[in-house]
Amino acid sequence: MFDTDRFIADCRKAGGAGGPSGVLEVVSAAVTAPREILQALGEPRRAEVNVLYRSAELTIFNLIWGPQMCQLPHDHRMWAVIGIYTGREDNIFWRRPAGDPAGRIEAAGAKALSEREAVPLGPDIIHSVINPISRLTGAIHVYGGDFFAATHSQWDPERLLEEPYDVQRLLALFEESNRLHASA
Amino acid sequence: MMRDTVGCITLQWSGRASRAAHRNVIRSEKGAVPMFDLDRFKAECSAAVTERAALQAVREVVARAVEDPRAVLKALGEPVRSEVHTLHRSTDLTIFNVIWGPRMTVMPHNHEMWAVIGIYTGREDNILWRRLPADPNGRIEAAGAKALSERDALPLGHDIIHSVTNPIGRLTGAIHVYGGDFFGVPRKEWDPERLIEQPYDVQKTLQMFEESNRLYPARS
Repeated sequence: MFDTDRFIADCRKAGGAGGPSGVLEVVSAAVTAPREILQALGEPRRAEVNVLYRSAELTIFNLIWGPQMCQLPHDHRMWAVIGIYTGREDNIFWRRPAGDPAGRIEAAGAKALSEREAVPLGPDIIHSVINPISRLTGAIHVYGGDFFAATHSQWDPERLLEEPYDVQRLLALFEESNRLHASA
Repeated sequence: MMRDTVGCITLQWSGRASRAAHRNVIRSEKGAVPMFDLDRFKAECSAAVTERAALQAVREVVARAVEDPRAVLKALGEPVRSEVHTLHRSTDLTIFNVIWGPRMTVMPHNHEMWAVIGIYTGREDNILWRRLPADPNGRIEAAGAKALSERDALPLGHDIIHSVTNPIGRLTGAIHVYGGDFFGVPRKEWDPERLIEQPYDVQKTLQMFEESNRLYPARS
């Protein structure tokens, strides 16, 4: 059975020993049994970010995306592993064209993630995330550092210009999703 | 929603857009050079579609139009709600004015004909998909992405499968031109959760626009 404390311990051990590849193995193994994760973490009920673990070396989120929620491009400046235990994530990857003074980005690729899938993201990745379905998506996100202490960038989704990461703006998107879909 | 005389679905026009779209000539301040004029735009697309390199020729027409997004807004009207206006429909050409709701996503689908997308306000993020080889359910995987901003015009080949997201918190306005009768050709869509192929359901797509309007009531 999925046990949250053991999962956290396994991620800490794997992250210390093998970095993202070790954590990818742990997350991949966990999401092969999505019902167990649902039992342990609970059925998603609202869009939110639950911090399961936070230290200088590792941050683990249980991230619940709202229906058709769309998050702006951002970076992490640390490796990450994403595993889906219910629903879907569409990730768009972005790159910085050489020589753009405003730090403007352009789309460079995409990766669709479904239940039971896990992917590693390198420290330089810039991505935006879409939940393309009309129900909540549940994902475990593991980061190789203290997500909240690190400096990140985000990109204005209309002009694609770089700006400082604003965690409040991110959280406001989750609350907006809850507000919209609570009235559904 | 209405049905036309051949039983095909016709998308409803808003009165405001209809009035704006039927202005004959919109001229610049000097009064000599016409700005975006819908009838001329349709005529140019109709001429371009007969060229040997039709897709490229239509892309040039659309690119010229969205070069001046304010003129397009004047002609078509400021977007006020999520909807699809059919501006032109014939056997060899369909033109839509597509208004995407805030943060709206439409599932992967194909067109079975080439297309050109031009943005005159807002943004579109397109994810491009490819079929998994020999998959019995016709499943697809993400293969690339293209971000479109105001003034961008993107050609899409005949075999393209794409999904579209409006990633911003306001309405996006886009001109979509198709190299055939969009409603006369069977096409496919893919269930966004399982990514399995199924027949395209225009009603389902239109419901997504109405759902967006319910979530984000019109702001005039």
